[in-house]
Amino acid sequence: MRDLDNRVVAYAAALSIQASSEELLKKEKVSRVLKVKLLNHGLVEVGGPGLCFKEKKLLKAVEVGFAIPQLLPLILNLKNSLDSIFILFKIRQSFLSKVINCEKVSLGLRAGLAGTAVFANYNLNYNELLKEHRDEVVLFAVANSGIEIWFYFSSDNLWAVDSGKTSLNPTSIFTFKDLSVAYSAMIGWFDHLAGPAVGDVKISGKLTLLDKIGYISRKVQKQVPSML
Amino acid sequence: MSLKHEKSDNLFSRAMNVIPGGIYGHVSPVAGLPLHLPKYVQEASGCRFIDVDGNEWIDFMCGFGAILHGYSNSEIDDFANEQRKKGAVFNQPSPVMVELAESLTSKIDFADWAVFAKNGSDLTTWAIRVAREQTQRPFVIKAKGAYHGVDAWCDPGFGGRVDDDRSKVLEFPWNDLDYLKSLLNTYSNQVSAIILTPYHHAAFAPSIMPAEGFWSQIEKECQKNGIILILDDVRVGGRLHDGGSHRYFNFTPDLSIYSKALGNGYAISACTGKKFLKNASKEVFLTGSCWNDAVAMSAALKSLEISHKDKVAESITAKGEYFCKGLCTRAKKYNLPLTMTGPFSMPYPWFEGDENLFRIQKFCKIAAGKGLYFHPHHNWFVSNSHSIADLDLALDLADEAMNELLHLENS
Repeated sequence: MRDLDNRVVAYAAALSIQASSEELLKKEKVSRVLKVKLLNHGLVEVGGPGLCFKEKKLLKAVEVGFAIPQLLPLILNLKNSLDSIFILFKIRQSFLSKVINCEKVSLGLRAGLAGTAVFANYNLNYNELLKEHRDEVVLFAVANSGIEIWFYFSSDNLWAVDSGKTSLNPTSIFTFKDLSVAYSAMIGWFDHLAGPAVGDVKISGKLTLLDKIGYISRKVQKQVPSML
Repeated sequence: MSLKHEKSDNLFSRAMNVIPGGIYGHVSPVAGLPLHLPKYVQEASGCRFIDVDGNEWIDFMCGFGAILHGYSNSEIDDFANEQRKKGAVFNQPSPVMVELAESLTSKIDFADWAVFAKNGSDLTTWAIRVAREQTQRPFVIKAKGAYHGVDAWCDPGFGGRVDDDRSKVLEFPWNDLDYLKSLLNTYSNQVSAIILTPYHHAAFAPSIMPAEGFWSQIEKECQKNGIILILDDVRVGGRLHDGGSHRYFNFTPDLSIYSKALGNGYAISACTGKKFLKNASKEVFLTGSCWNDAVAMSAALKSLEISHKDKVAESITAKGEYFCKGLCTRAKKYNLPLTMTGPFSMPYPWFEGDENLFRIQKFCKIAAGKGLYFHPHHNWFVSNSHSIADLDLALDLADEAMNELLHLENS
């Protein structure tokens, strides 16, 4: 495992952006995925050469919607940079939609879990916590919405997140009752102990990994800014 | 059968406002079947309880093991009530504390002394400190996945810990003596205690009995390396042998901890130990606000007496065997590959091929609809108040549940 512990927050925020763009690409709302890359000197590249932020600026961009990127690479790769900024804008637009719809919820869940996966991969404690569950797969779903987000250990030896129909077989399933409950989880208002007891979520299968992911995701939610 | 749950739901709504999570810990609804098992109990007697909505249940969890002789056992309650009239907690202990210590040390063959607290955790943690005091060594070895309580060195949760909490706790897979020996080599002269349950009864997994020679090897390694052997008999104690589970498995620990069944529902725990640890035990501070509770001690005294007099461990083993075999026979009728793992008196149900527990969850959910309190992820408990008639009724209802399970799976 690479030790990214000191950069894990920025990387989680960056990968949440990438995951959001992947989700929007599936919905044909954007033209490509914003691949993110950690560079030296505390820089993060978003969407290929051009758009590049200092880590703090990236976190600010996620939180408030704007931050000044590194200017030289932007000017040198103006076309790609502008395209990336446009996709970022589309992501933000989806997140800020006043309507709690499938697009907003799938984006939020996918982005949140992508951030969780980063912590699972690069935070030593969380990596250790999930170590014994590498053959397990958690399916997060929202009832009657078609939203399905998968959390699993990939062939790249990393925890990963995917959505939609996959060849994965869930070892546990976490189903939100509806979009509003899922949204409440995205913004940190969901009571994970009471939720299953009042029917806001259904849980089934081998629950230990699910429990651990829930714990890590709540920590991530506190540390990593979100567009919501 | 449709169970009522309005009052339960209302109580839970109120609870959510004033209690974190509504209900927490191992009895949190999230740990079982949140929408199918009742959240609040009104009253209980024998092997049955009535929830706050008036639904009656045949119980196979026995207060998660705290009930051995049945709920509201009149013999125990009457005896405890006699003490209650005199008082429960005083400035000083009551005579019953001495009587209880004498009772335990007479019934537990290796025990020369006893101390008391309220919960298993109180004394599992204290016992490892006694072992550290005795040996002046820092490390403790436990089995991976074993539950020893709620303290930070061993709890199954994740929050509120610092790295140091577990930096001196080592783990080995249950029954893997080679792994244990490798730990003992690596940490030579640094291990103070090995703490183990009598058999491996982890949640979410079938129970595993000790392999042939496991306990004798553990004893041997402890003796060879000057390590204190601690038996966490909190869950099992009284259910395999009234003199402690070590008698059932034929070994001798240095310290053993009891709680759940000890007071038959009255809050008490005990740690017993060998004479050579008595001085070390005096050096490790031990107290609690209500730990001298004479009512709970009276209940424990009577509970121990009944266990011995009525040969309760043998009785519940026989009842458990009847129940487990009956359940497996019925499952076989439906081609359901059910195995009841662990001892008969506290079996853990396991469908072969159901590693992810979807099938057992469905089965327990259907059974809940018939008034059977079966837990999908935790070992069950048979109490001495389960009569053959109770068990037959439960088996018939379970049979119906299996039939419905098959229909559900095939539909």
